[in-house]
Amino acid sequence: MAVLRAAALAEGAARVSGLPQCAPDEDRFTLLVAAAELALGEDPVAAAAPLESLTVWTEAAPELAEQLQTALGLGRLPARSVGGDPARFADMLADPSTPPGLHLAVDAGPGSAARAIALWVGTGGSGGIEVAGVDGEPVDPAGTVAQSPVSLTRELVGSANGDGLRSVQIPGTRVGLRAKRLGPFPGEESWNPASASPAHLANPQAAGGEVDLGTVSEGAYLPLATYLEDLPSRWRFEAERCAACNGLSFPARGRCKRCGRLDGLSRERLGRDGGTVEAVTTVRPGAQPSEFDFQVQRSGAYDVVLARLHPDVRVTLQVTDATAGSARIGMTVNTRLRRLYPMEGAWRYGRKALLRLETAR
Amino acid sequence: MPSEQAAIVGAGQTRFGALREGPRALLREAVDAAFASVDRGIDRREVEEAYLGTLGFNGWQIGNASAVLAEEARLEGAPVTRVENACASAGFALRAGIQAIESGQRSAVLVVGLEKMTDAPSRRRRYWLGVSGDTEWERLAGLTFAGVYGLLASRHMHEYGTSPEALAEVAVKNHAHALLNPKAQFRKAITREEVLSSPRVADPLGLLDCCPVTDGAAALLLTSTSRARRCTDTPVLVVGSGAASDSLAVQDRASLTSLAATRRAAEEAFRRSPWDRARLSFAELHDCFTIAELLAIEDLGLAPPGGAAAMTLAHETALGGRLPVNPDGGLKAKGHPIGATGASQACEVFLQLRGQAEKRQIPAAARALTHNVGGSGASATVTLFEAS
Repeated sequence: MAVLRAAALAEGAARVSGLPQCAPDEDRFTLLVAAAELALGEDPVAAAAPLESLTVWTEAAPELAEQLQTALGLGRLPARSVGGDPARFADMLADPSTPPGLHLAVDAGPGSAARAIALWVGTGGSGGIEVAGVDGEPVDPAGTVAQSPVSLTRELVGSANGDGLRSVQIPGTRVGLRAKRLGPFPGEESWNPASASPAHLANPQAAGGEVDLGTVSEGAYLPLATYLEDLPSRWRFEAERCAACNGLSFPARGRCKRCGRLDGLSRERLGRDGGTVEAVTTVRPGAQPSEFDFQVQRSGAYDVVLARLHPDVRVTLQVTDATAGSARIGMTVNTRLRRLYPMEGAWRYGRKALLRLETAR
Repeated sequence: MPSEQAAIVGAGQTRFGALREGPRALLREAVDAAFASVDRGIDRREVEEAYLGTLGFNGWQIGNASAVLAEEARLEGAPVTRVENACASAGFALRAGIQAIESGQRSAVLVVGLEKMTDAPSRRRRYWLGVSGDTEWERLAGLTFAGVYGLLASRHMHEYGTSPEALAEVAVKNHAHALLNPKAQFRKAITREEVLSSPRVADPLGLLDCCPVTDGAAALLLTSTSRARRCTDTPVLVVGSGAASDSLAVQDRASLTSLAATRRAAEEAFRRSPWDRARLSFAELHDCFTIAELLAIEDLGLAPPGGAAAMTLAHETALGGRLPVNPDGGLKAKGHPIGATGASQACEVFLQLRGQAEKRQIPAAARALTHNVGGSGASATVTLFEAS
């Protein structure tokens, strides 16, 4: 049997300005990153040390797996997309010889919210969910039926958190799965409807494709090559520590900002959550750079903050999933990877801030 | 000490506003006005070198604009160099002109600033309005300059208790000054209530906290002081010049309530000057947003940190006050044609220090300062002038 040592859910869309809306800055890539960050915790690279592979359960183009490696800092793991067949996904879970790995899946259909899951499949440990395959006749003919890796996982987690031992049937197969909760596991709180994001609607853009990516933005031109140069800092808040003067440079650009040295720099990841707001503005419609017109047409004004991530590092962050005007100096922010705008035929991504409203003074 | 001292012997500018004239006509008008203002005249063939400050807004002649100035000013082959430091382009062009004279290499130099901003659709203008900010971090977070200065204003309010009323008073005062300036874009008085209730742009800044989009050009004729006496009995002497740089993005700066480039530029300028701040008759400051004038007053040492608001609310910076700031209306109300602003500030100094500023004349004006900022403080110049 396999054990899900971590299991997290990220759902698309949020309420903006009190009205249910699609979040225009989310898509399946950002949802997958959010789920994986919930499952792997503050330091995904360290957490993923025992893992042997990264598997994306979607028909997506191969670049999605590659983007996920970059966003999570898991370049060392072999990554592949294997399609979204729930039976194959169930076989993987039921197979006791499945090697330790990170499994990501997303579904976003018309009429339902975009949802992504991240599963850390491994053996051993004390907490998690134990999953066992059940062959033969369906064990619970009245039980639930799962159509995709995401819905299958939801059912498993729901079963495990209920009476502790139920089964999920896979359509078109005679295979079922039984789940049993062994104890608390990373990502557990994300399955709790009370702590999940507010009521959401389908995001037609979430599954991709609705915006003409061929349109070159009329905004300030940021060539793809230049944007890609800073990705580890942009997506993972990687800074550089200088061995000679102990200075911390962000973004990491291959030279110590304090003493100018080019050698002896080591990568150091800044905490992606817990920054403190030092300055705030609300950008009203019309005052946004024109490349954000697409977003502003859908969700209106937004806040931008300067947040201190570290005694030596401040970063400029747009606030998301909040009514404009909510940000205050002194608040604590968490960050998530979100979609920014299309340019040169591709979406640009960067981290945005989520306000921890309880930290308002 | 420099081997020579520079002086302004002629200065002229176009009206500022949404103008019908294109870039060539604006250049011609400003340069002709500068030559016409030289009391005993100066031949165009005597101009040995010229500097043009312009951003090339909307993409106008984004390369090689210098050649257009050479043509329109009829410089007959004198070298022209284009200087681009965003909103401080002309401030740095002026500095280049001053240095050419102080070094002894040139004895007559033309400095021009130009921007034509209103000749493109608004979407394209919004694109250009942000091109001088940090595109890789600030702009990717959804900021234009209004947003960046909104952040700075929020922090100044937080640390010093600066009130929205103090910000509004900067706009009210500069509009009142512009009423007296026939070249100004906005010749309309506004009230504090109108500023406070104007549509929000980037909180805490509203529409009336922001400078407008403006067309205009300004030109200055600089000579060595020895040569200046041949042109006029009343040249305006350059007694100090300073400039400095800082990081492009605000996130990388130590302070959010002070522009280090302004402080360093002022230190350099005053180090050489025969007099200090207390003796200034007035100042032309870079008020692209209301908060920027308060930051400038403090960074230049004209008020202690956090003290600019009280000084403004007490009308000390208004015409008739202890230290008038922006008697021409400033960027806020005279207008801000990006590349022209630094030269236009010196035009106002030329008029004031020669007693030619008409209704807005500051009595016995003798010593003045101009301050020009690039972007949100990535660069700044400070220049000190004295009546002869």
